Amino acid sequence: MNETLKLGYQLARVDFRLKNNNRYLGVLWYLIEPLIIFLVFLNLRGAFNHGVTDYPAYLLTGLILFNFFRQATAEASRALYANSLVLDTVKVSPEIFVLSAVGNAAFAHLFEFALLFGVLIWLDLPLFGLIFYPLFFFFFILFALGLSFVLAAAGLWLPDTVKIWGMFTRLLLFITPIFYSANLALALNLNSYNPLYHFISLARALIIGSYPITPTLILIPIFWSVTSLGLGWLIFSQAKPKFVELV
Amino acid sequence: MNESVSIEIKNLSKRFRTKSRSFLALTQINLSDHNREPLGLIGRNGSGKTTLLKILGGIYRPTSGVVELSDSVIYFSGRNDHLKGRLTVSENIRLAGALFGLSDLSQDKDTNQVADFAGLTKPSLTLLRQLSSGQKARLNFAIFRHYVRRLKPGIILLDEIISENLDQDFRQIALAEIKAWIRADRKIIVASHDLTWLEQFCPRSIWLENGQIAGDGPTGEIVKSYFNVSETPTKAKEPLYVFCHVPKCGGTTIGAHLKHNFTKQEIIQLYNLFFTDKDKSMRQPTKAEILKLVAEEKKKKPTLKVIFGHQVYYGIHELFPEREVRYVTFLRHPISRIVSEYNHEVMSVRGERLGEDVWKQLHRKNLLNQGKLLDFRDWVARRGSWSSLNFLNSFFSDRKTRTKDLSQKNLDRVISNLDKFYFIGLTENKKDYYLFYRLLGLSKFLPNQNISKKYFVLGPNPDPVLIKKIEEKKFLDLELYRQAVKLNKDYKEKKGLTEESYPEIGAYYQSSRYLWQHFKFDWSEKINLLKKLGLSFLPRIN
Repeated sequence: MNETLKLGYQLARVDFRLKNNNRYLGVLWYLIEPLIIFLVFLNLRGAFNHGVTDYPAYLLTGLILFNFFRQATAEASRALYANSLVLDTVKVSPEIFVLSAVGNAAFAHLFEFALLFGVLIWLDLPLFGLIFYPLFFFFFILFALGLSFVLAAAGLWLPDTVKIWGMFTRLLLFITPIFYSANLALALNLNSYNPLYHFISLARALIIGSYPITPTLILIPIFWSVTSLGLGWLIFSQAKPKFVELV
Repeated sequence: MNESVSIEIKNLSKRFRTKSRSFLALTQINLSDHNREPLGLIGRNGSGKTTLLKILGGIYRPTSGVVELSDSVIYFSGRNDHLKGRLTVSENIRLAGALFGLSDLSQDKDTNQVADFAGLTKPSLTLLRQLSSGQKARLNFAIFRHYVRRLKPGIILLDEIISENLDQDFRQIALAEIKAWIRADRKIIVASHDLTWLEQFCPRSIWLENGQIAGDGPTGEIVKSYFNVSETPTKAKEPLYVFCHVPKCGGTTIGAHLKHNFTKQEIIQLYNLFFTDKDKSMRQPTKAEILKLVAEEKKKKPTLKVIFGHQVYYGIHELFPEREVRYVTFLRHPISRIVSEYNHEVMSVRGERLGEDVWKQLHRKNLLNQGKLLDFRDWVARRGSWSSLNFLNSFFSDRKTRTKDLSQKNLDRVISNLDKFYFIGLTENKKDYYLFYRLLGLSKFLPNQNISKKYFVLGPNPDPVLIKKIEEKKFLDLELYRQAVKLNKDYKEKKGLTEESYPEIGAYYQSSRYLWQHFKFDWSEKINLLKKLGLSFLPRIN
């Protein structure tokens, strides 16, 4: 397990460096893209904020967490398929490609987090809550990783997974209170069943004190992390022996 | 490391199940080996050598049976599929390092050492796809050598590592390295078609035939028995040529030559196949349907030599595990191809060429706007990327679906398939036709076919805006064509076909074509006449 984690980390590091090598603006892209979306929504805040205090920080927290989730899972859904020739010629644990996809998104998140840090300073908000952010993010990574395991396996069985998941995450952007107030009443009480909502709410509570921190607010994301990772790992392990033949 | 190594294989079988079929790659293999002497694996393509090595290397799991190894093991394939064309040499070395778990390969010093061993300069500036097949094979070996030196495995599995792409010098270096591994008491199991090499290296060899052990013993004896059995069938089963006829690349002339030189029993033509759906609409067959058609034809044609046509694609070799399948094609620069496509469509719409109605309808749709013929510029603007995608996915993608995937990854996959082609001719180079005809041993020649009228020509000073627009639309074709040019050059280098050998080939072609067309006398008389002219018939290229 330790070896797999190490390999996954190494592959993510190499992959991250290689990805940015050929770009003129390199890692700046990780700031530019969320910054543009942030500025667009910030401009439209009149339509969305519905009494949200510190809307810029509220918006950016949601945006960067959603970005990490989207990037990690999208990359993971094509990770095994894209590396099928490697799987067929080198003895490697397929897990490392999923770990690398999530790791890559986590590296990118560091840059986006720096952007959030800047906005917090700009708004003169207390930075104390950020101490807990690494622990929170660790659980969020576990959640994304669990889902990524399932998507990677599914992507090998059904190449359409990439498209289906891409469509679903686009939908998630709208049904999760990222750019609009969480107090907006959504049909079917969707927020309760949406794990992303619980993670983003906890992050907002920690960073900008949007909500009071209650045991439920902490325990629900932990529950989702453990469930996602447990189920994801189980499904991936069951499917693993078939991977090489499927490629 | 002098203690003995133990390899025990008991009742090993391996069945592969894909969406379309299931087959036994290995059946009831039993093998016991308890010494450190190299072991050879002999057998035809598809006999199960690679599957056996991959099971020993832990890449595949056996369907049934037991494999017990007493030492750590690594598998190495001469195929360099894990290297990525769009990355530089250094980046590839680092990536491979990460895959193999070698953290030191992230250091420039170690990366340069690997590149040095492969004889590659400026590794951080050279893209992998700029390397020749031989250089890629060198790099692949150099990475593996580093891997062996670092991890010191007890058992090394080598799968066709001394590829024909390696030049003599590097071959000697690689062989010396392998000898050093043997001296260091590492157990080597090697699969190769180079039987001389196996005889020299391996005291014992296993001969695999259709997934079963057909012989086991001293390599010399096994090679003799292998030759005794395979001599006749190998001659009867000479290479099967599969020609991908990409439209407007000169393939019609080649197709006509194939029809003219081979009997109907020796060829399968896959042209203008249309299926009628329930709603009576016409459609082209899917790749699975093409495979089914070829499988049926194969049963009827035991002397099959060539498969060609517009519906041929990279994947047909699946049906011929018992034969060496050589993919061949001709490609043309995308700009002159698109001009030729336009002229071809104009001819079709004007009724100046024969053809299927379905195509004519398509051409009319492409070319007519409110009843008027579009000029070349407007036609290009309306054309989209359809032909590029069709081009990539129809011929060179091994995907069963005709998914229109306009991505770099898909292009990498397509290019890696193109790398496996035996010969790629360039339409612009007439001498490539002579080479191709010589490769297939053709002796009867025809004038060029299907030449489109020149309704539009780019001229010596084409509009740069138009060229840029075409290049943008055809960027996939352009990348593919660049690779084709490189592979064409590699092939000639490998076969020692220097520019000096061209006049001879050209003279051979022109003279025999001229003689065939203008003198109606016995063929042996023509050969004599050629000899008198100082032109001998060249042997076929192997």
